[in-house]
Amino acid sequence: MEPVIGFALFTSLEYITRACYMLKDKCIDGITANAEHAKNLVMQSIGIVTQLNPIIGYEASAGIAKEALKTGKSIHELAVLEKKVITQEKWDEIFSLENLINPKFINT
Amino acid sequence: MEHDFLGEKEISNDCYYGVQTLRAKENFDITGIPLSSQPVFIKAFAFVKKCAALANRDCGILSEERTNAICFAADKLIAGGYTNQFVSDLIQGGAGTSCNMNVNEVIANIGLEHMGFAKGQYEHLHPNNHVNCSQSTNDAYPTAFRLALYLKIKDFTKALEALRQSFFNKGQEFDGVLKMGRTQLQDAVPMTLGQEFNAFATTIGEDILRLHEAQKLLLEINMGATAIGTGVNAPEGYAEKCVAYMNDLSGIPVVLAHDLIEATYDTGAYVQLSGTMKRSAVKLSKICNDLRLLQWSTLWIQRNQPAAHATGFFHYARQGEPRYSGSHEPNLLLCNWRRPDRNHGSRGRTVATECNGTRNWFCPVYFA
Repeated sequence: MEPVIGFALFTSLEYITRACYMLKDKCIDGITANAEHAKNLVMQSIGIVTQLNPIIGYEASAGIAKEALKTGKSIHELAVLEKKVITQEKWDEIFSLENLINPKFINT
Repeated sequence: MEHDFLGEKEISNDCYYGVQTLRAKENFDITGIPLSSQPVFIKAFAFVKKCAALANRDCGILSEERTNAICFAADKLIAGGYTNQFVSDLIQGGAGTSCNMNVNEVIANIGLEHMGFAKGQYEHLHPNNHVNCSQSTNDAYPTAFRLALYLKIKDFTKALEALRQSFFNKGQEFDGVLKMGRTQLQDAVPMTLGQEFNAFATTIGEDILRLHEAQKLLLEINMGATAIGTGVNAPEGYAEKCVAYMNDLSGIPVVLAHDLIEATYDTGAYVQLSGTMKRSAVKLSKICNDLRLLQWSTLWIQRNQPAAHATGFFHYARQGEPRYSGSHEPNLLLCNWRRPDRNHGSRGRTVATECNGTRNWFCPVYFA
């Protein structure tokens, strides 16, 4: 019994230890971010309509999301430019990097 | 020519192992992987034999001369010598008797040469009567095994710490990189890439703590228990003396189990370690899957734009050779996680399937 446990644990520990170094050296250490592209994906995403929820409410947010999905227009285009449900100034406040990382509750 | 209670067998004079090891080699051809593949285990075993000899000497049942010979031989093994003499298969019948006898015989023969005798002149230093004095496979083997695991876990936590630091550094580096956060693979709300990598670092840090806990359980040993924990054939005070030597000479704070009968049959600490390792393997597998998703996300979101195939969140820049959109590296790494799990029984296979390049990312590992 115990030698079987020993064999399993010894080999498992060796494999996983080596795998950790392999993951670190050959993958994680060399990762770079494509920041510009990632940011564009955020601003084109319908998901960001969630940030507007406390200000314009669920129904209006859902309506904009539905329209964005249907027309291919961005949330910014619909909320600020077309429907004018919030101002550009408020938009910039909500979608500042600082507010996106550590969101403050903004409802006016 | 050597004999045991089964009869006589011829052994090359170059060998430091004896007839019982030879029989083990013949009888147990299971993994094809010999004890010599685990140098840490051999060292731990030699260390246990040394402490047992010193305790036996202090109890007045082993002569100074024989004790010195055993210690000399054990120190040679601890220094990494004679590794090729450990020929018994890692898996064998029983509780490790072949491994124990392999160690006893090699120590006896190194000791005999040191005392000025020829190999095999066991009347002067006997593998069973002297090297294995006051011991049984059932206490010496698990004690050495636990010490070896303790040291191997140290290596593993060191590797995890290096990985944790790497994720943490990337977390700092990607501090200002905005990305879409997801739930159930769907766009949710924004976050930064730094936050995500920092969470990877945190979760690995938690696993390091769990490993420290599992490691601590291995410090409880059963020297002096002998065959079933009753301590038959071990002198009064031997167990305590043996543990004291182990503490003093290794600096590893081993403790004697208060119930030696329980400690001799219990495998709880091994099950705990196995579970903790599985926890780490599953979590690392999840991180690797997340990395693949991060890399491929552009293909999913903008799959109608050919240009999207040439870009992604990540460029794998290794040795100055960027690999755009290639999933080659994470694939390699994900596949790697199959092996640690493989050894934990059939449940591990679910994890293997998950990492097998199928896109079934979240098949029910936890409910397997």
